[in-house]
Amino acid sequence: MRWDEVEELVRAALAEEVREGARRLAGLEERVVGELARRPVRRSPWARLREFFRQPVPRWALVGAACALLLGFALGRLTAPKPIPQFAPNLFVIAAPGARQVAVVGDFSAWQPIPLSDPDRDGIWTAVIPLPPGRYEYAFLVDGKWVGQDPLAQEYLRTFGEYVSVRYVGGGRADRSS
Amino acid sequence: MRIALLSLIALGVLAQPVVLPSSPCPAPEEVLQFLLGMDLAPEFRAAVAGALSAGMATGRATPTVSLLLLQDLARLPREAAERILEVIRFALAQGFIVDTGLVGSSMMNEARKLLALGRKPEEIEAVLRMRLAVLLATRSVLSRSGVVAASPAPPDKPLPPEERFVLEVAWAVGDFVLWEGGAFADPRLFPFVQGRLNRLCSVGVLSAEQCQRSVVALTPEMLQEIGRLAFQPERR
Repeated sequence: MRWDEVEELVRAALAEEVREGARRLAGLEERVVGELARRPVRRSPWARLREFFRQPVPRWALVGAACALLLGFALGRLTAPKPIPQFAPNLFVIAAPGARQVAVVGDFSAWQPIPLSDPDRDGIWTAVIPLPPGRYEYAFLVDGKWVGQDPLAQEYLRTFGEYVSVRYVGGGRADRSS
Repeated sequence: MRIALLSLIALGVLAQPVVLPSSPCPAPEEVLQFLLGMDLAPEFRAAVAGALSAGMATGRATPTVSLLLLQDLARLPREAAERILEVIRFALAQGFIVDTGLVGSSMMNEARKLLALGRKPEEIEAVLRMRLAVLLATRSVLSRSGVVAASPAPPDKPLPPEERFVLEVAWAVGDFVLWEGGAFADPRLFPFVQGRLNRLCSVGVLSAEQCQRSVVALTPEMLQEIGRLAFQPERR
């Protein structure tokens, strides 16, 4: 065989190999993308979180986040109504055996009667009234008669000859002596 | 990034104290509507409406107690109702708190208490006038002494916290003289008022700043001067 014939054969073989390779590469990108779409990589939330924190965070991003948080807090402070103080249950109790109607009146009700009850009819009338912290003047009305001296009161006032009891609610430091 | 920023703003907005639902109370418009229906001189009614409207808007009065008192006054003779309302209107015009709502004592609640006690309108008016005199004297003495600001906030401007301090001092002095039978020169006046204010501090009615600064700054001389100004009209 002549040298030039060998060279011709080698060229033909190489050309065939290139054509075969080109056929195999045709549509490779679409196939790879399709395969990736079919089997997405599923990482655990923990792994994603770790990866997030491993990434370097620019300083401006941290400053921006802090500013956004402060802005949100300031907006909230401006728009939120004032918090209403906690209401603590307060027991009002009076012994009034034989009474038909007992009520308590005071600053907390703008001096409108709030009825007390005596479900077991033992003459002890009670009402539990939730009150915010403060100083309250009050009195009982037993069958319409003013009874201003509550033994549980912390202070008493005399108004036009009638007693009014005073109770301090809240803080946990108010004592019972007057 | 945008979502993250909005989330942070929302987080900041939500990071506020939880607000408990309040009990139902009348709207200020309801109070003014009732006032408009009352038998009062038209100019006087307009003056009261203006003062009360500003008072309710700035925290110097509350719709709940205001409406109840107006309903009481509507049952009185017109002249008696007008005289009592005039004291309240004047107090509001001076920028005083006339109603602390359902917590603590104030002019409106005092009027309601006296009505519950069955007192006559002229007695109620006299008590309110004395309360007003003590309020004016208290503000005058405390501002001269530098305990509160020299000039009070106008009645249509937000209520400064020190007005509550003025109210509580005046109320304690008034209680001592009116109901305890004490004279303003009585040496027991100072411990009485200080004891009252300390208790109000302990239950949080007065702010920590007021308790640490204003309560401590009070002196027996200041209280006696308040009494002199309030109960010796010739000294005003």
